[in-house]
Amino acid sequence: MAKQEQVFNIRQAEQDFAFSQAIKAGNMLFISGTVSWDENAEPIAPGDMKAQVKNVYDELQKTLEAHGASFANVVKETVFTRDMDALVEAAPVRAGYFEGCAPPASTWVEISRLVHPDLLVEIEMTAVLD
Amino acid sequence: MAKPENIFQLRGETSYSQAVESGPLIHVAGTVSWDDDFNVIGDGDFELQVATVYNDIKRTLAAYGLTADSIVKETVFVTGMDAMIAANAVRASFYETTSPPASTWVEVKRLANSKLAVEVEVIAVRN
Repeated sequence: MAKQEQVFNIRQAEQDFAFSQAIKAGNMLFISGTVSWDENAEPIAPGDMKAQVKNVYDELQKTLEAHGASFANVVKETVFTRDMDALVEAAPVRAGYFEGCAPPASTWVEISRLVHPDLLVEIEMTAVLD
Repeated sequence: MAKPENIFQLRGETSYSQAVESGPLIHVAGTVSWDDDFNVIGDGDFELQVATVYNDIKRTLAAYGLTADSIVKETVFVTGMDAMIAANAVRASFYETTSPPASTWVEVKRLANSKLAVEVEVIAVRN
């Protein structure tokens, strides 16, 4: 297995902060903590947990699809949120993405801040590719 | 894939290992800025703590014959996000010769010692 076989980026902000959206190594795909922000690293939908959750999973889906994968390939997810009650309320939005497949092992924690104060949720994933 | 094969201790850690190798992966423990007696280095100096942490990660990877370019995933826990953003150049210099890893940054209330401001864990992959 080779390290960093394939580096995937979505936007310039990743290079500005010195990280990659995803790194493939062998059959494993490591996806960065993904947040709801635009091309200028400005938060999308401040104060709206459901919209942020949707934006995050849409980006995770885009990242998985770029590697020929889907949510069915995800083995582990970690969800960091500023507001656990709001996240629990938005859980059906998340669950929709795992319909038709076994949901991954998952950890949810409430933390005090993400990279921008208006970001409410950050989700990272590890996937195993077919 | 095998179970833990090659365990590394940086300074006599008890009840955890600094790093564990399993198959092609090396899991490196959340690394903080402290000396060989577990005294905090850089109390109140965020940049020094970041530099110390990445130097310990470098030493850990070196024990496996690896460098920063083997890192595929990083998680950064800080007690102050603004300070981390301000100190990011110190971190970025660690990755200047390679693609930076997939990364997650979160601000938390406290680390193992109240003087610790940053803790970084990484996953590396052997070629």
